[in-house]
Amino acid sequence: MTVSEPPLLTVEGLTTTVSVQGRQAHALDDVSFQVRKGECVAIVGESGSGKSMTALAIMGLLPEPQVRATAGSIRFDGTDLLTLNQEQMRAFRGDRISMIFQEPMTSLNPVFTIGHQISEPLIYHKGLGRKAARKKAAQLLAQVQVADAEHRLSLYPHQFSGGMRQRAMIATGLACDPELMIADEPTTALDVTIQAQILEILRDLARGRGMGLILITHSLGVVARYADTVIVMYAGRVVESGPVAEVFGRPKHPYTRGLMACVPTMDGDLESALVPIDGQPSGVFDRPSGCAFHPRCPLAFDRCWAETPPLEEFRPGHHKACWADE
Amino acid sequence: MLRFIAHRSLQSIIVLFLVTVIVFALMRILPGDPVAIIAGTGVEGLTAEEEARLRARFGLDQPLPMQYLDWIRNVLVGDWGISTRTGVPVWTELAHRAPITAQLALTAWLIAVLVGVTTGVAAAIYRRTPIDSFSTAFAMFGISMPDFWLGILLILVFSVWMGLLPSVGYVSPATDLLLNLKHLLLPALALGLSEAAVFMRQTRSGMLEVLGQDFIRVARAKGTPERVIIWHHTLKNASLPIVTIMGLRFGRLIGGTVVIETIFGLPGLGRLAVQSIVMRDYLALQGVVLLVALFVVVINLITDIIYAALDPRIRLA
Ligand SMILES: Nc1ncnc2c1ncn2[C@@H]1O[C@H](COP(=O)(O)OP(=O)(O)OP(=O)(O)O)[C@@H](O)[C@H]1O
Ligand SMILES: [Mg+2]
Repeated sequence: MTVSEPPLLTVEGLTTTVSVQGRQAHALDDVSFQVRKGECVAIVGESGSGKSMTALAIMGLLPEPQVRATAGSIRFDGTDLLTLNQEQMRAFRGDRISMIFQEPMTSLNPVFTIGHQISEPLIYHKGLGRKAARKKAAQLLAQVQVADAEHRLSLYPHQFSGGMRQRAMIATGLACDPELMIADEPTTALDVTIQAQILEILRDLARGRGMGLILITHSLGVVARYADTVIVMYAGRVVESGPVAEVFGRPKHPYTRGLMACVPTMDGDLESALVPIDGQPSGVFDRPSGCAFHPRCPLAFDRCWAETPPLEEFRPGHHKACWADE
Repeated sequence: MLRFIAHRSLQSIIVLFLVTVIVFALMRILPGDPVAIIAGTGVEGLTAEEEARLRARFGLDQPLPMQYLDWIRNVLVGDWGISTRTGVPVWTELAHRAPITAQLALTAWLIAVLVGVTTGVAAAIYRRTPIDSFSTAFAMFGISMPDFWLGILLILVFSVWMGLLPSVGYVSPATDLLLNLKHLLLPALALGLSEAAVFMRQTRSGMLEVLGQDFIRVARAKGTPERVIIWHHTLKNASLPIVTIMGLRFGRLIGGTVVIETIFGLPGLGRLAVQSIVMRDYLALQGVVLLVALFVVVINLITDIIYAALDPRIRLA
């Protein structure tokens, strides 16, 4: 990746509003980050911090009308995806941007063959006939290291194991050779050895094809091993972001540091999930004022509950949103 | 799959056996027998001796288990007996009337499925809009309204007021297909619309449930056209319980033909059943019930096979 090239994806000031029974709140608040070609960007943060919502906003799959993008922009190759209607957005989905979800057991349609499900994007976007699509599907399945791919195309999801299902999902995501792939906790439901295999496949494919990859994860071990850039989210905001080595080497935000403290080895254990640090994360409707992290923050002072800190670049490529400055 | 079909066929045979026993027993529980009815209504007035002779001729002097076994044995070789009401072989009578009832029931069923599924899909897609409210109101109306009442209403509106369709009678499709369909439309609507309500409710709730599944979101993420998502991805999954209900409701629908045929003057099996019960025409009624049961069982077998064909988890089990 050359730095001079314009980024593949630029999310700027993305804000989503959740409306439930007349109450409104920002689930995502002023989220900004970039993804370049061939770059693996990891998004970490505890449950409810807005990782999946960020992904769904990019895909144009927010559960409207309860949740809507109300401010900001998502620029992909010169187009602001937020300005597109459903039909225009559909042309991007599965073709130039694809997404893999967390739950492989329920992500496949039980009444269609695996082959059909992998073929679909090729049929809808590339206009391939069933036969040609199926041939391509066999290649794709082989690429994600499913043995005997040709035969397995005729099988149904219930005949596939969890790991194989997720490989099938990745094959589907890769079908149209997307420029950007979003993987939302793709391995959480799988056992450890399979996790490593799947993540390696994803990373290698991304690097090999120059595809941007957004990898959502709970595991800092995964971040350290596979990502180039990391975005740390807390309560719907980005609190720190930067190159993995930089952020891991010099974590700035107290939340990031708290996360690090929970992880004994940075590069080893894939299972090292984000252990919640002191205090409880807050729901969308009862987020603390100012910096949402202040009730749990060891460095908090009066400004922190009065004003929300903006995300600022304080070293080249390294951003933080925190008032505390030592 | 073959094992599944064999298993279901065996079950069907058991069901048919039970049906024969039950209809046989029920008819004998009714007071009076064909001869008593003939004697009571007949103009000539029979002597006790003549009655006994008649009973012997119809085999009614035999012990009940013997009568049952005789009937079954004869039916199995294709002899369904002679109607005591008309003196015509029961089979001839059935062969005349069965096509009428079959046509009525299948048309009604088709109306029920087409109307029910399309309104159900529309209600699910346009959830919480006037389309949904309208479909739901229609379903409530259909479910709470007895079909004979709907039949009378249809006659009133389409035959009496608007004069568009005939209200009673029957024309064979061989004679005049268009006229045949005209005669069948109102009774089929009366029978089908209340069933449509049942299909509509099942379709709506099934569609909504499937639309909330992860794999639908995945389909959207693939860029699947909305039309394909609704009619292919969602409906194919939602159709599994619909197909089950299709089989189950068919029995009810056939039951409904008895009343509807009477209202619309259709000379079908339902009418024959009523007349046979009145005249204690044992063999005719047993024949009607057995034939209808066979029909229902076959339809259920077909729906089971469709179900299995739709659901790979069963087909490949
Ligand atoms: N349809 C919705 N209606 C209301 N609130 C929602 C809805 N979807 C998500 N939220 C809220 O938005 C916030 C962000 O949710 P999101 O699913 O993005 O979290 P996440 O970071 O992906 O968490 P996890 O790690 O558990 O997947 C949460 O607080 C959640 O409760
Ligand atoms: Mg999530």
